[in-house]
Amino acid sequence: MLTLRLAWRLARGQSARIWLLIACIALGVCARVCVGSFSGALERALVREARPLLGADLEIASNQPLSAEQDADLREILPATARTAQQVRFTTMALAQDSGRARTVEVRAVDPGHPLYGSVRVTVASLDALFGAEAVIFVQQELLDQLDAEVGSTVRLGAEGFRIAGVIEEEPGLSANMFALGPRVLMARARLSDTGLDGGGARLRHARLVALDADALDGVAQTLRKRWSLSERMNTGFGGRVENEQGVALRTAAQASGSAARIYERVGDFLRIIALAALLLGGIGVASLMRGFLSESRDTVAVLQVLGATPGRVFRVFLWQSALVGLAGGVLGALAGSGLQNLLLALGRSYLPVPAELGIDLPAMAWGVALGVAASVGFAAWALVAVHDMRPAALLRDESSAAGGWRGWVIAVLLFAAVLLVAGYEARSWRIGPAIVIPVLFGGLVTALICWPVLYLPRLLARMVFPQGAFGLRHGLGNLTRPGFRPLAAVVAIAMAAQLLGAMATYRASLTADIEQGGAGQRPGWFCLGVESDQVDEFARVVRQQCGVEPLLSPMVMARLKSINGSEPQKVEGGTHEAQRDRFMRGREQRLSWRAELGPDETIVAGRWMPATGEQVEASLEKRFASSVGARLGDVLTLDIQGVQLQATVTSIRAVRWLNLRPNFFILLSPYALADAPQTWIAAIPLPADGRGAGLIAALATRFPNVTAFDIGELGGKLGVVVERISLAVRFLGWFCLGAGILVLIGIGIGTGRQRRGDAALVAVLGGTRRTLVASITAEFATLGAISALCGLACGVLQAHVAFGFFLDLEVVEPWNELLAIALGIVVIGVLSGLAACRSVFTQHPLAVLREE
Amino acid sequence: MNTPVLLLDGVARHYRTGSGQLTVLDGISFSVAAGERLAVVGPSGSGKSTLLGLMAGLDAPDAGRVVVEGRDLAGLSPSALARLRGERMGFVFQSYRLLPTLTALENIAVPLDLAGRRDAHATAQAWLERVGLGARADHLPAKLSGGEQQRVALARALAPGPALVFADEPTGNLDSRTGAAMTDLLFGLVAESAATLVLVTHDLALAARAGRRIELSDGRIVADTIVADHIVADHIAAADPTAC
Repeated sequence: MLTLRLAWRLARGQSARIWLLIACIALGVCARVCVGSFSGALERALVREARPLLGADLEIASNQPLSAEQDADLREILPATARTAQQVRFTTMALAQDSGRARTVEVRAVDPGHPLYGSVRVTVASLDALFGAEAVIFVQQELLDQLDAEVGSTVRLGAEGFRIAGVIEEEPGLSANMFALGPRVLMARARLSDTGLDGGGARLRHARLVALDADALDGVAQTLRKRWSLSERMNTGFGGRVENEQGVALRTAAQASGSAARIYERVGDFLRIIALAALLLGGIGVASLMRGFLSESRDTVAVLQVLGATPGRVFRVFLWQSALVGLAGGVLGALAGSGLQNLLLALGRSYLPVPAELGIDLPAMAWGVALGVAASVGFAAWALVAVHDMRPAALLRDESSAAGGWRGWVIAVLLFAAVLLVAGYEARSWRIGPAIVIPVLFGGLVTALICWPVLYLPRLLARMVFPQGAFGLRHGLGNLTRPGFRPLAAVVAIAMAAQLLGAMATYRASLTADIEQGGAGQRPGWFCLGVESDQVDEFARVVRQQCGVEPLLSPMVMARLKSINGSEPQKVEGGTHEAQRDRFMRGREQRLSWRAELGPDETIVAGRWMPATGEQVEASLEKRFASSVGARLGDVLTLDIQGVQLQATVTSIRAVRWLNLRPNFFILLSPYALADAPQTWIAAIPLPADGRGAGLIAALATRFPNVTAFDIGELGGKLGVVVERISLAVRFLGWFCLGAGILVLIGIGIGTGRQRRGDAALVAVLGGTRRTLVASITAEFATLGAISALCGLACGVLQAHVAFGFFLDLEVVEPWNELLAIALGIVVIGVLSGLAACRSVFTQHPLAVLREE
Repeated sequence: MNTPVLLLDGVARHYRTGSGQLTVLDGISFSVAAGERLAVVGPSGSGKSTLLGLMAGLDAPDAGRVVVEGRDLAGLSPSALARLRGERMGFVFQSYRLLPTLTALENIAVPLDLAGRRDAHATAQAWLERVGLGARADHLPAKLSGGEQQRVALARALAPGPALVFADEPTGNLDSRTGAAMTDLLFGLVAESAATLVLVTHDLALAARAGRRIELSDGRIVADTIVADHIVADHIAAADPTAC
């Protein structure tokens, strides 16, 4: 343990450096533990609330009521103690009789005794009113506001008018669905037939809810899966389901809560990467501080070597220091992160889908500490490898500082690979994690490359503009290139943080602008589902009458992908996002359509567009769908269309611009293939240029009770709120990254303290004042902050242009005011940090310093 | 004479400078017998310190070879060289070179610890007593005077029982009185330890205490003088070490 003992002894008297190193690691770990614990608390809450969220232990759902055989199976398999309930869910239009306003709503048609689990809290009337003689419904307050209605008003669902008996305040699953298509409505299942929506007017989802003993649950679920040939992995993410041949899906409460948690998990995955970036910048801080320390400790290293310590031993001595620092930083960061997480949970209760409990998440803390130690050791090793090139002869003469040579490159490559690996693991995607981290690393590299020449510019400019006078300014700018001063790491770290902040600001501004402008006018104003074939002409006429525009109508047939070239699509294993998506794409119910020519949002990327007539059925697949299901040009797909098998040859692959939200499909078939199949139509209605359309939804709800219409602007508003919340969380973590960068800046300020004190003493002797020194340090650190901010923000905006402009084809909007505010913030924080780091310059007496020199 | 403890054969060292190659040492050959005390003298820039670095394996020659106790240093890895230094060599520098964050006792114990000696602290404490600083064991170098720091450095050099002790201007940073006392202590303790002393200095009075003197000028040996034909039994060991 000599190495450890030496590590401890050599750390004495280095408190400022040690605390800075600890802070570098603690900051990143704090961010990671905060995100991890927060996600964990939410996950635990969702598991705890799983039964109330689903309202059952087990749910069997299908698009048709269960058949007599399936009912018999259930009776046979369920234990006698099991309780069951039936529920029908669907989305439809609610039309207020008095105001004439209409709105999309999510309806739950329930039986007496609802719910099996959890609670329903309604105001005004009792829930029992649903099952009385009068046709009543309970609605969310949001719907009353939107329909300009009140309790007692009459609202029409389909063909039936219902009196609003009260307001729903709490209901199983109500708060967990942030992407609900409309407010919730509760009605009696017995009155469903009165609405006429059960005859194909709406896409109904029939659910059989089961409450049973916990020890019987798994056995029942397994028996049912086996009996009905259901896949084990029922929840696929993206809100999708995998169903059996009869369209039956089964999920337990735990699976349902997992599905509800998925969106939060995705956001959590993303935030973990940002927290990782904070830790990465902390690691750069460690490398910078250790490099500076090593340079200052050249004599110590040489003495140790003279006294018999091998280069490996010296390397290990300093590496142990880094590990201990990482451990201390990790523990402090974990404690701080856990505290911060609890504070956020306490403050943000109203934003959570379920109430999460305060507490300590030990696994998240342990992982944070492990990451902290790894970052500290990894980045320190990168700097410390130079020990191998340090010669003891340095004791006899000045030698240039060692750089690390080939070992440095090896460690740099290993570090890069480790960062990508951890990013992939944290994001649960080998694509998404690295895709977020690589641009930030690239930005850091670009900043590093342009930093050195740029650092010389301010000095030259100052000399040109102020050939005489302004000594403080010239001295400060001259300091940027002083020998032994290593501002590169600080500039790079701050620039990387600025890049994250700049990119996020640009993403948010661009998304918000796109939502507000409706996709540069390309996006439709409304989207309608469930138009029957015999309603198409009348539907188009009403739209023309109300809005003066032509609706974009597409037929749709539901089908199931049975096989590709005669073989079932391969099963996908694994828990990455990509695996989840592939499973979902392969197992979902497919929506088929056809069109005579390519739509405005489509481009053929492989193959050729299908002819309008012919004998062979051809298929055109969307690019990502084709990749997910593993289909290529020339493959033969077998599709099951309501019991009829159809074969289609893939003749083209399309790229689709989904963001325009016009009717587009993963699978398009030859126009002649499905002409006679039972079909419904979906319609996109362009936003009228003259602002017409205010009465469209009400007119459609009145004329076509079976049609469900969505206001795209309203959905965009919901999306905007989500974007805003995610952006807030990212910005919150972005400032952690900036904090790590600023610590590096403080580190180089402290590292050059002795030299600065000498300069200051000399300046004082030569007649300089305190003001001169303040001007010098301010000029120096303001310039470093400005260079970092400019490089970082430029890289951030460039990153947004590449991501949005190149990959998503979205118009990029630069939020100049916000970018300017970030830049100014960085400069101000940089100057304050610099002044704080160099405060000894102001407190030391010149004579004492000169004597020391 | 027995097998030399140190042998230099045609050693040369050059440095690259902005204006070309600078030859610091050229064609240096000599040997040092066990127990001998050698003073390398010469004016500033004559190559004394460079020669010391090469003899101690702190640096590698561009030509020639350096052999310590029969081992050619060129054939040793950096780790093997470090171990050789730790176990067979001791060093005293002009500016003491104590590790600033270690106490006097810990500084002396470092080479013993590195050599894996279980009695490191006891031996270090004994040596601290021998140089008259037993009561200053827990003091950091910054709390010691120059003379005291150099005594700690001397104890550190001798504690592992080296065969060779290299001293680079050991009195260069001390006043004349303290320097003289330090010289007495150095020669006395080296004699007690039966070690070989190689001293680099431009102080002719200090050099006169050695039995042999090599003079360097412009990187070449210009004189190699035996001051005494036998190794003088050094009676100065009895001198009061606290006088430094």
